[in-house]
Amino acid sequence: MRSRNRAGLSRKGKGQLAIGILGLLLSVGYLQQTATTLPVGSLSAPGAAIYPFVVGGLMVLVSLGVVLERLVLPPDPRERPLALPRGADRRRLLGVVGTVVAYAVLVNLLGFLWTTVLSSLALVHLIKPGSWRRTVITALAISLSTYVLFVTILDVPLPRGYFW
Amino acid sequence: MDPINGMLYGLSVAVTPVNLVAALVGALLGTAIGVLPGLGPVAGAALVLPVTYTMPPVTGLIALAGIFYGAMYGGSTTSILVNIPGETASVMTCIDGYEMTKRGRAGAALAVVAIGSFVAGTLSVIGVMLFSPVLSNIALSFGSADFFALTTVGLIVLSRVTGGSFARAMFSTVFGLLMATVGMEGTTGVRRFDFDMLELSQGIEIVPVAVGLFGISEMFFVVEDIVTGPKPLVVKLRELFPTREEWARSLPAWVRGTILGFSMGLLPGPMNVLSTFASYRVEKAVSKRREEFGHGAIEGVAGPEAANNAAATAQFVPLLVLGLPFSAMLALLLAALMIKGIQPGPLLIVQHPEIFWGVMASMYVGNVMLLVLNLPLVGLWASLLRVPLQILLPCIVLYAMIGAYSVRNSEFDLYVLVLFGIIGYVMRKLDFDLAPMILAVVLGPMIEKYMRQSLFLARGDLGVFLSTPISRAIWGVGVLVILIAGLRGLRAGAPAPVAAED
Repeated sequence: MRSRNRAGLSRKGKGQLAIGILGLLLSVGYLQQTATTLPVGSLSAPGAAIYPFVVGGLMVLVSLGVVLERLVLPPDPRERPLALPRGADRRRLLGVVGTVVAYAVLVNLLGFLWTTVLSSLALVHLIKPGSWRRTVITALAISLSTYVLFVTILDVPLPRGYFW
Repeated sequence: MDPINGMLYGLSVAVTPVNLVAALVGALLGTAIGVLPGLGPVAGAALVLPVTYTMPPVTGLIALAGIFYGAMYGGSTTSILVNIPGETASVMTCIDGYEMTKRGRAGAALAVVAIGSFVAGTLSVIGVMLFSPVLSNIALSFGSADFFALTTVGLIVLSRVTGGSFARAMFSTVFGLLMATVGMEGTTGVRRFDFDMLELSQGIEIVPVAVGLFGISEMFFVVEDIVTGPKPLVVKLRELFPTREEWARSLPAWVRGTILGFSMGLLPGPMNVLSTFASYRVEKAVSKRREEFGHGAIEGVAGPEAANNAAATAQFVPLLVLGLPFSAMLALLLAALMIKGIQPGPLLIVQHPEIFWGVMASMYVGNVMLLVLNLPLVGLWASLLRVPLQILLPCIVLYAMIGAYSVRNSEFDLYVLVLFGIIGYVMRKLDFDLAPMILAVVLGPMIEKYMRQSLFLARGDLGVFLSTPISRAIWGVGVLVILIAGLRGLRAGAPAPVAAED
């Protein structure tokens, strides 16, 4: 394992630890919801809460398992270090993630057509930065062909926004 | 219906025009999905899933099965031509397949794959005819406690077999089970964990989850590390014919691969992947030309490809007869059946012979179509590899969005898609296996149903879960798997992951 810092955990180990802790928090909230909102019934007529109690309990166990595995067991020497993108690669990734998130948010507002045009512009530019003319033509071609395929030919009902 | 009549009946179902078209479109789409980067077979099938809701169940299932084996074929094509495995089952094909390409035998390698898939498909269909009725008869004596044991232990074994740390694999599994409890539950109709949101009260939709975990996250992996691979060669039609020697060397490898793949495919786990590793080792061990392996030995292509195909066919037996999917892809097929209100299980052969035999026969017909169509079309598949990423990736994003939205015309599902895209990316970076999550989402409701049924029938006696010899045996296996996993984990850390996802 690469770069064990003073805490004794690699970056990947810390990430796994964080997921385990998130899992613990989730299971506590889940069990609390189960206990307060669902009918337990009896063992002979099990209610809606029985199975969630079992699943929630298991979630506590497996989350603890993930946490303990990192805190107690020695790290696996064959484990590959966490590879996160840097520099231009990282900017590109964040840009694409941002575009995808923005798509989900904006489609309610702008409707399918405009969101598609805007996100295609962003994606084409992020993946292969080049002249604006080329980017615009590529993005419009992608949007148009998608529109024709799904709206005109397949007649899929797609979200309409305020402008369309 | 005895197996031979069943198969004949299945053929009559599979060759109706609409089912032939479904198999053809599925197989071609699947091949394209297997060839293109950024959209694996699981995400591709998930996108097609909502389209199949409008079809008769057997037609939808035939189309999805077509995507399944088409994607395997597509994955092998890229392995051979550009040394990029389209999916995990074709990793082994890269080794000798790409070497053959470098020596100018790409055409022969592709032909060996296509013919090998056909041979394996033919032999496996016979195997299925022999095994399914037997297994189905055994399973007819299963009660709900046995099915509870089978599904639960099945999930445990599956998350174990995919490799990696046991704790992390179980984390994915239980997280999937937890997601499956959201929404109205099947037995008493109580709404759970919906926070008074209409979308959540209908449960978490599988399509955006699967496309997010396997499609969007994969796309993130592609954009963070853009590499321009080698340009695929142009393969001419007349280069496709293997020489006499290549035939002679491939034939026994096909047969060995098929037998190995079929027997492994009946066991739980992503056996279509693992059987390719096993087959490669077997071929190398029995070969007189061991030194050729890694330098373009045709057996190294023929064996694993036949094994892959045979295992994939065999996996349909536990899927249809026991309702147990052994991979994320098969979990989607199970979801397609359950949406139609069809319960896979031992009664399926009797109650829905058109589905069981029709799908089996269509896989055979589909393999014939792939053989006839894909060899001449190999130039087209290779040219798909030349589509630049700045066109391909925006299209994948748009199709994923439209696919996720159109399942129930819900903008909420777009958030689910994006959220699971990010969850999938983070979890894969941190070595969490995603396949068990999808399996658990699909199997969760069944596990709950079996559990509550057993308790109800036994009037609350917890002993019911171990009341039959079958359930005791199955739980015994489960405990054994957990013990072995625990011991291994304590001794030397977890074994290296074999297959990240299927």
